[in-house]
Amino acid sequence: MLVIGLTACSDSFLEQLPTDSKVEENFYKTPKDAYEGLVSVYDALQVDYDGFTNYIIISEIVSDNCYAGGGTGDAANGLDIFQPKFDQFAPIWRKYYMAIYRANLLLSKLDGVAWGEDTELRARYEAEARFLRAYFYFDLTRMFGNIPLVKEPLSADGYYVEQAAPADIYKFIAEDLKFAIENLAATPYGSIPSSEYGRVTKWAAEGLLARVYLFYTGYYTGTNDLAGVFTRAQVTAYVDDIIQNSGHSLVEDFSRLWRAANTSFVGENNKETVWAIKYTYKGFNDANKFDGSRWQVMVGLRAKASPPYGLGWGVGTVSQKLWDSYSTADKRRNSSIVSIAAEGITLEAKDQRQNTGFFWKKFIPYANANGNNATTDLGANYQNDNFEDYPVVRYSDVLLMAAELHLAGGDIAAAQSYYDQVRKRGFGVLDNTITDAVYTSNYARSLSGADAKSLIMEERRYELALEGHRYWDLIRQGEAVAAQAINNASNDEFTAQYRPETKGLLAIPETQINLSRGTLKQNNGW
Amino acid sequence: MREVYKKLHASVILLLLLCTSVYAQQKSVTGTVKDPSGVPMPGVNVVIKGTTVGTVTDVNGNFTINAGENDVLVVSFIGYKPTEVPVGTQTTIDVALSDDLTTLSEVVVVGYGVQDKKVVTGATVAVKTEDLMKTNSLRLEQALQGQTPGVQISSSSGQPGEPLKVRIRGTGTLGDAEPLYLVDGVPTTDISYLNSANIERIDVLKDAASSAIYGARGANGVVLITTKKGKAGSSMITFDAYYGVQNAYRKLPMLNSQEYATIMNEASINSGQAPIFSQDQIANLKTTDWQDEIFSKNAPMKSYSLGFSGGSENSTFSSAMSYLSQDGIIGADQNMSYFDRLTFTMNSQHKVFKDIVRFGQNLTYSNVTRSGVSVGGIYSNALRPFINASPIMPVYDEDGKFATSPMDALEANPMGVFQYNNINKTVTDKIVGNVYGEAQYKGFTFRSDFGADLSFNNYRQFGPQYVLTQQTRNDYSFAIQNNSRVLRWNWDNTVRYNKTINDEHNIEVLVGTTAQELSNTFVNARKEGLTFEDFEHANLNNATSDSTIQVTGNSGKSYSLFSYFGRVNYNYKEKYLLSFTMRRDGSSNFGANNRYAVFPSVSAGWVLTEEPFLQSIPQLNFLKLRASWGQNGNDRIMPYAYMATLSSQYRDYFFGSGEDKAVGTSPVRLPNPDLKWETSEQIDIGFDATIFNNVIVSVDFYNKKTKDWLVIAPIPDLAGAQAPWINGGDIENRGVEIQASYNRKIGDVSFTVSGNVAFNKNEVTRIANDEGIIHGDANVLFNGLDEMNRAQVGYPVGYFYGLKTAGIFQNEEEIAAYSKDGKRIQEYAVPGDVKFVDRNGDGIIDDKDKTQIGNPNPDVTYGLNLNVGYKGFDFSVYTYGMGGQQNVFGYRPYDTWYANYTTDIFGRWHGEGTSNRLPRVTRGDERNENYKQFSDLYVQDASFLRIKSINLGYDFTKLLPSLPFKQFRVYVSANNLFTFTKYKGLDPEVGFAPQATSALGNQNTQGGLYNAFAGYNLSSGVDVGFYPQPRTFMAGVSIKL
Repeated sequence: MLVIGLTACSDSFLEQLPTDSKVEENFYKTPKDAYEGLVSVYDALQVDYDGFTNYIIISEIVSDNCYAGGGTGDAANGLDIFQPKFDQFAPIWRKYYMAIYRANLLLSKLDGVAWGEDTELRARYEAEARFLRAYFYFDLTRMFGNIPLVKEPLSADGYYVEQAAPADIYKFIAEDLKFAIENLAATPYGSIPSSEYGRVTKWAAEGLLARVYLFYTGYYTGTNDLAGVFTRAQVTAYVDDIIQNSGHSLVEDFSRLWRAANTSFVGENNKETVWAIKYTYKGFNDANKFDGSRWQVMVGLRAKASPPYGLGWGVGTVSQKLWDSYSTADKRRNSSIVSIAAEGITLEAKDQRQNTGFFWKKFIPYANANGNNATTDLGANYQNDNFEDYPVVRYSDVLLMAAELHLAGGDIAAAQSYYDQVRKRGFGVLDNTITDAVYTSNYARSLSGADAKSLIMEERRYELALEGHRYWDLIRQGEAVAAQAINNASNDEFTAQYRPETKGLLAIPETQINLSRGTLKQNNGW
Repeated sequence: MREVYKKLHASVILLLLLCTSVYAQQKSVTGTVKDPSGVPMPGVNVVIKGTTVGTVTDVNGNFTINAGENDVLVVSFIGYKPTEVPVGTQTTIDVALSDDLTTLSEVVVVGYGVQDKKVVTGATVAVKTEDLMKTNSLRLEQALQGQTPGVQISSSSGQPGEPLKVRIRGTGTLGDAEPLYLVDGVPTTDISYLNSANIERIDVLKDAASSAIYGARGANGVVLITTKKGKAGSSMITFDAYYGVQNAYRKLPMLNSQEYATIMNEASINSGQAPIFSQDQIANLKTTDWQDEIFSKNAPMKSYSLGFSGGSENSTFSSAMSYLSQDGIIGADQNMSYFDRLTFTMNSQHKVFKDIVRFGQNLTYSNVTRSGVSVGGIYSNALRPFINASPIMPVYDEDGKFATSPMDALEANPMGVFQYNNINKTVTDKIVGNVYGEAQYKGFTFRSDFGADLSFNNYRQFGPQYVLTQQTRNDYSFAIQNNSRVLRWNWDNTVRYNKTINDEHNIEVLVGTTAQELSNTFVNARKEGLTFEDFEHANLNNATSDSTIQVTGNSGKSYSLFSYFGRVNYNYKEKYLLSFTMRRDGSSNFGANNRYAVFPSVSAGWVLTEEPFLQSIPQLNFLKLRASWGQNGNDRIMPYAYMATLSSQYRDYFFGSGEDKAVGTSPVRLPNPDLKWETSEQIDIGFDATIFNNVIVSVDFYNKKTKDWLVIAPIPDLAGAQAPWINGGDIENRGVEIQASYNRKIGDVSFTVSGNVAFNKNEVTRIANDEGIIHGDANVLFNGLDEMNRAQVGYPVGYFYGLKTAGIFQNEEEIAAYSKDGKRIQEYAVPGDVKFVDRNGDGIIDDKDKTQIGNPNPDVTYGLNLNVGYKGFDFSVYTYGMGGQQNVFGYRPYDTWYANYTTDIFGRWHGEGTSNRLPRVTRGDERNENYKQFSDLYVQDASFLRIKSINLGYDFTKLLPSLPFKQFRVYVSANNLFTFTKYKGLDPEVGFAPQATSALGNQNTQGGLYNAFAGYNLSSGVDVGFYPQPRTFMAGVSIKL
């Protein structure tokens, strides 16, 4: 009888459900569910599966700003010369498709959410998710060029997607950004609740759009508009909209933007930050959380801190070229770069590779006077819990993009005025280090000549060094410019090489090609 | 079980006798029956030949029977040779029975019962208590090594209490490939709580037909453990004790400071840098032998066990208590590596209603306290830093603090790392047991058996605050407390029917059901800022930093199983044997689409020696042919794997100026509602033979195909979430097993030689993704090393994958000559660098040139054992070995330029003609990447033969028969006395391959990344600093009263 009793209830006996996780069938029903889904897309911004394959680190190493540096076994070695290394970029490829999947999944579920009357909220969540998807796609396609365009969650038989034409990818990005711009509220910086810093804004979308436009029309020669979605005039208008209406402006003293460059650091979420990836130390040593930055420790000093410069792994040593490119009067040089010799620092590591004597000052982990990294004194871990936000769009970048766009549109006066704002701040006019007159007679540059574009590009290098922009600014000016800047045939450990056959694109992970049923083709030159 | 059977047998005979009339005119004959060691035997049948007249001996072995002078008494008992004694004029007849060495009347334990070995049709192997106790092992699996052909057992670490890797007939899956363990019928996963002195026997079911009765869980073989039971009328007290000392049996020949400094100078010069040491400095360097610092001397191991057993006609019992304590040979001086175990066992059985209803119980409680040093991958391996440390660093500085390295600011003092990072203790209380009731009526036996495996685990760790180097530090002291409770219960109900028709047709039918459920509860917490800086006070209550608390916890049921099964055994005159088994399982680990599965098996046997045509060959005592086919299942995956679950763990984002946490939620992994059982299908053909009365041979051929592995196979990252569990691969294990023994008695000397050998070939035949590959991890030996092992179609599972080398470039001409189409194949090579083989001839060295360069799976495993007895003396030798497998010799991290070398480096290239084997030394920055590419330079032959144990004992009851003991044996023994191998590491038996761990921590949690699963069981034989097995000398006493 017992046997029979058991048999009868065996179906329910065998039905076990998890007690610590939700099940997809009954999630994505309420606005709160949707918000949690949206947060998981933001969360993907923070994820770096290792410290090396971060987009910023890679961008700087392959540019003329940095060498791989670090130690003898480090993953980035060989990147200076574009040396093939099996599956080197697998983690970053995976990160971006994970992020895109989270966005796609949320977007596919929005219709099933009981929004009630709150259509605005739905539009906002959709706009944020689509902005983030556009952001991820843009980084991914800049790095790898030919990528599959996944627009919704894939079913098991749908993993085999051909690489899309760049125009299609950019069209998709542009449409996402268009939706974001049109559906996000035009709240000026001063009116944004401080609890919402880090959320995507209309200004962020407009700024990212300008970057996408400039890269696409520069790198893909013969294009004048953004894949049929935006004309230059429209993009210019959006950038002007940021300048006129966003409430963002320049911080007067450039050095105050960077924690290690000035003791009176202006703070994160400052008026110049249009949009940043938020990092925090509040993961408190829990390596699983990915709430802190994993890449920041890479650029710290190897083996020993030297306050205010914190401990790290000495990756991405800064090139002498970058240091030398600045005018000595440019405040941005010493605010962006640590010079070991000039600052009288002793490096303790004997295995520092490609030791140029220059390290990052932007983003270097901050060390307190006691020699501890700041993360340590906050009770967190110096490797996993670095908390410096990464500004994706800075207002000075907006100004320089505006200058570039107006220059292309023939409005040299507008271009000059935006350009001047940035350059003057760099030399200390805004914080009264020098007078306008001294600036004008010694450091001012005019955009009225044929070299106007390259002056703007140089200014971008000074202003945005070590923020992950330089390489893309180079390759969008064409192969010749990139090769000229990057190549260094010194035939020693400082050799650097741009390989034109790659068109500046990175290698698609070999394992992914092998898994793709022939749908993925390796980029040329790898 | 065996005793139960004997007793049953005796009872049946007794019943028969009650119905028999007694002849008149006969005299009364009395006597005593004893076993070969002189112990009186109760329950022995004494029958007058040719009649049904007989009796059984009483509790003292005495019998009385009426017999005539012409009668012949037949004295018989299962497991002993039947002895015939003519009565003649005798009135007192004492009989000493001898063991039946043909073992043909032996019973074996099979699923849900016992069977006469003669009629068994499956492939099983048994190990008895005597052999288990000889090796004095902490874990039972160790005692099995070398005794059971086809069962490969290798240690995953020499640390006391660490699990062993047990593979029955090869690795059958990438998932959990351990066999199913049942202790007195209770399924359990960890048998480290058992004391060998308390085990009656272990039976291993290898072929599908034998394990098919366990259907869903039997795919990797089944190990049945039977604990000791009491015997009616024979009270016994046993006491066993031993004490031993353990030492490392081998040290690596590391460079001393002078040699080290010389090599480091050479490496620096080769890397274009100035030498580090002057000749003067070199001469004055002192050497620290780090291995001497870490290996403990004479680490103790001791064990005491005391047992009581006995019983009456109606009740039998067996109780035991034991204590075992073993210190590790690493860190024992700091009390960091030890295993203490206390166990209590109570087994009893009672008749409650005539001979019809019985009940009984088996119960073992154990308390295990252990402390362990980390034995994992490169960042969590306690031994590795001691091997790599520069010998010029002292252990302590003048102030008695851990010294800092004179070599590099990044080099941390290994003793400091060791002592700060291994402060932990685990206490486990475990109860495993069952209660059962049984009723017999007219050939039917009903049995209901409820078993449970309940364990409570408490783990505590102390992390002191320390700074050894700027980057090897812990800034906040912390405490970790993890508590869990795991309950697994099972309830088996069976009905058995036995029938013999005309003394010819023997039929046994078994049907039953079993239900199992697993539930667990855990809370794990970590908190920083201790107010006390010691282990004793490393409790969460003493940690003050609220913001740093990390807590995880869950409770619930995670697994249930419900099954029906049936078996029919039939034999005709014990000559033609047949057996069918069928089992239907339902498992909660699968969704509605594939929740149930049926596993059938069939086997047959033919006892040829029962045929008249073979009975004329007197040398052939017994010959049985066996064949079986069957299917088994495996459902051992994580729970809910088929479902689309979402998690809010680790998906936070911190918005705002106050960095306020927002909780995110996203899927964990992609679902697979069609997920189903992994099936192992096996054919076995074998024979058992006895020749010349004393040579016993068993041979088995098998082919075992595991289909539809439960794996996570990589899918394109476009999918965006962790790859789903799929039924994604097939693997084949084919092999031969041979077991033979020979015993002989010459005068007072008796001896037994037994040996076994098993050959196995393992091949992956399918992987269900587009590559046909499941990749191993990168960065396993050091940061920057490529993937080194993989599972791939057409290769053995976990094979070593890398470049082949072709010696060393001796000069510039050789490098230039190694060209294709005028372009150098190794552009960056200089003389002294490794020449890699361009296998595909495309003129470059890359991953397309990689191939199989080693196999961690042995081709052959074997054991050879010898037992000799002479009067009271006994002497035995146990050996085992494995052949044909390779290890990765991976101690030295080539991303760490100052790491020490073994003296093997003297054979390096240092000028033309000096070496064609080892490349020049550098600081690890050579562009040719001599060691940064995984190549055959890392792979070494790891075949070995180990003398596992040598024992010499003497039983004083032979010398002093007046002693009131049945046995008083004193012995000395040596374990792991010698190992014959060419492998250059600390221990060739490396049943372990670490997964890569990042210095940044666990990378596996989010979105599904780096082979969150693949490394689980992919490979073996990867030596990054293997905790070696100790060499132990011990003395002990074994007393029976």
